[in-house]
Amino acid sequence: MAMDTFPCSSKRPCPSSSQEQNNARVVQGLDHVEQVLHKFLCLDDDDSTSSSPSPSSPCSSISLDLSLEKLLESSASDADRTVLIDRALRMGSMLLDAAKHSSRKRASKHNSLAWPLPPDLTIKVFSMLETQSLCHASATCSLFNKCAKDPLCYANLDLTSRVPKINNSVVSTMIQRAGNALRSLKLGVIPCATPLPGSCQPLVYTNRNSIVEVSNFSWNDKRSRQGRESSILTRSCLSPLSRDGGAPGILLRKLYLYNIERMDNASLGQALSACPSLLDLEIVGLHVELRQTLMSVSANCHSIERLCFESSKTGRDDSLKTQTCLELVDNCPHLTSLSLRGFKLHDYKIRVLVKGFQKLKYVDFSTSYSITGSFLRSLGSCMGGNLLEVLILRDCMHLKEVEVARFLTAILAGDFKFLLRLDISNKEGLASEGDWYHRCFNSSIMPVKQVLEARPDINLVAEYPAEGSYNDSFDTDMNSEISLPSQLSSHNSDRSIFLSTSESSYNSDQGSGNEDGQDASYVIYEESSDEIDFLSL
Amino acid sequence: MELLCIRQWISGLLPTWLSAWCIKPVGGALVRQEPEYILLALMGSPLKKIMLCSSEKEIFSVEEQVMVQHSVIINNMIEDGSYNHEESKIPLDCVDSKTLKKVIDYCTHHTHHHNDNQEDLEAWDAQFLNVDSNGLYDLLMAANYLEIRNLLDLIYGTIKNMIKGKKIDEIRRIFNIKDHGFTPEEEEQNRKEYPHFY
Repeated sequence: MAMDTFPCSSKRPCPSSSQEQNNARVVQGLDHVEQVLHKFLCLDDDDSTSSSPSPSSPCSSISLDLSLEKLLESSASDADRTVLIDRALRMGSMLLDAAKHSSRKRASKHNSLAWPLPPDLTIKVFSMLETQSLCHASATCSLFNKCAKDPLCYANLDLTSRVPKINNSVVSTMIQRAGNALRSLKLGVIPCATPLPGSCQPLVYTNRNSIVEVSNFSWNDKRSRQGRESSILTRSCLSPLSRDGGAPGILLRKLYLYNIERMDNASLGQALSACPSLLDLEIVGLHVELRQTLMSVSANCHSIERLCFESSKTGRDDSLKTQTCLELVDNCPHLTSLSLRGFKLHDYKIRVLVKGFQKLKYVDFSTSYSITGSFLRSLGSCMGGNLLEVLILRDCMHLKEVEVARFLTAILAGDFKFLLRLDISNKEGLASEGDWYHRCFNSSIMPVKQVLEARPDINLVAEYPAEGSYNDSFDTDMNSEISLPSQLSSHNSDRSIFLSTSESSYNSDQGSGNEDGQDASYVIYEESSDEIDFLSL
Repeated sequence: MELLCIRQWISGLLPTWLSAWCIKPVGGALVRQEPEYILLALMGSPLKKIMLCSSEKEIFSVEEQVMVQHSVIINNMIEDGSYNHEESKIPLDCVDSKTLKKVIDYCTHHTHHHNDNQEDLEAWDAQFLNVDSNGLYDLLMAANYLEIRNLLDLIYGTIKNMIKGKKIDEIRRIFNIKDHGFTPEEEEQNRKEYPHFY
């Protein structure tokens, strides 16, 4: 503390001699500044302070006020008053800072006793927390704050939220902190309360339901977003993966992106080019083209094991080309799980995929358009198709009853020995042979019951609307035939819960909010009905 | 053999004999004690014991097999031959008696009951960790020092669950952490990084 800024002692109110006597013992050994400070801080205790208007008032802020006023009044000139006030402000703020600093130090010391774990063990605990809890812990005290900055804590980032509140800079900071410790990244908006990874029904419908219902989130209406600029992710939100020489992206294994409205093909492609070690890619509700995304994957992510794409433009993305499929099969031979939902897929292209991936076990083409099921023909006899463990073709509008019947017959004949789960439900019923518009609910040609008997290990789900005679008898059969989750191969740890969750989605009421989507899709069908009868095998 | 040794030998063996031939109810089913105990009892050799010395110089005698199975550090010590069964004791200056006793308790239970079903083991673990936070930290540091993998994971999981899902104030309350405020620079940085909190 600079001595020359202190007011001259002659102008200070003279403390009573008794006060000095009382404090004499305390201030022994302190130098002058500390003695003065001690006296100043003890003003509060002293009842006999002369400047106090009423002896009973203990509030020193009132007496300080008056003291300062008196001091100013007794000043010689206006200039002196200005100087005094300046000094009071400066000294006051210095004292405040010093007190805050000391308070922090003391509290830190207390905290280090309350939390005796050394930093390395603390970091170990923090690395097990999910991102949200990590942020809370980090804001608790400076010890936690320091430990929470370690890269290990950011290995698995979950930056998803129910409403948009994460912006680019948060993503950037976290990715930067992770550095090359980053292993998994989940980003975006998941409107439903509990996203159930792996169960096809909720992810397909609930996303759309919530988005249609909550008007703010209609992805068709971009204008509604303008008011929320600061808290949304822009197209370059994943560019931190490429920074620092690509260090964060290099060992990234999982990338899950949900409903990032502004992401486009180029930025997604750039992000994927930074992730050569990617094993698991899930993209839901992004406005990206299937073909371009798959091309990026086959160009960059050769180790990929799981691909899950859900279209944001259900039924309208027809971009997939045979060439893309061939390249994907060539460049990504390790794929075991493939989900393409809500795209327009053609049987001959799908056949390339399903036959081509030698390790493919899990296939989900729910809510796809155009596929009739002919890609399943003779699949059981060849290498690529025979290893299938899960096949989900739920609510595929053009899935033909005859093709499904053929498939079930193949199962009865002994093909698809590894099949554990088959879902051919359709809330509209299946398409009949000639005219897809004509729906079949009560099929005498589908040997469902026989399959259930011959292959009790298969969890066969074939739910059709109540108009047919299927629903009642099937519900009871289904419950008794449900295989335990442990029987399924968990090629992906997330998948292990999907069986129990899909049980809850059996009610045929699921698509209640979907009427809008359906009406729109009927319009599309009219336009493209010519394309359906193309397949000749 | 000296008298002392014989007595020790018998007293060491007696519980083994008794338990080897007793049929113990374990987890609702009647289970015989493990074959190796019966074999040892028949062979007549005492179970090898090792001595652990806490920071308070208290000596704990534990079955060698129990500690070797759980603690990497002790396993290494025994394997490389630096431990002499007749004379030496393993000094654990970082671990006090109370904590050491608990650690031995954990290892012994898990060795003898590793065939139990998962739920029983988990229930026992939950009961075991029903200590105050200081005890928990001491256990964690002891497990870390002795490198007892499953106990470490258990305690990490417990502490993680204490933090998980809690708000900032709750975390402070649970761990008795004083809110001292951050420096202005830290405060600014916090605000920038976690805008969705403020």
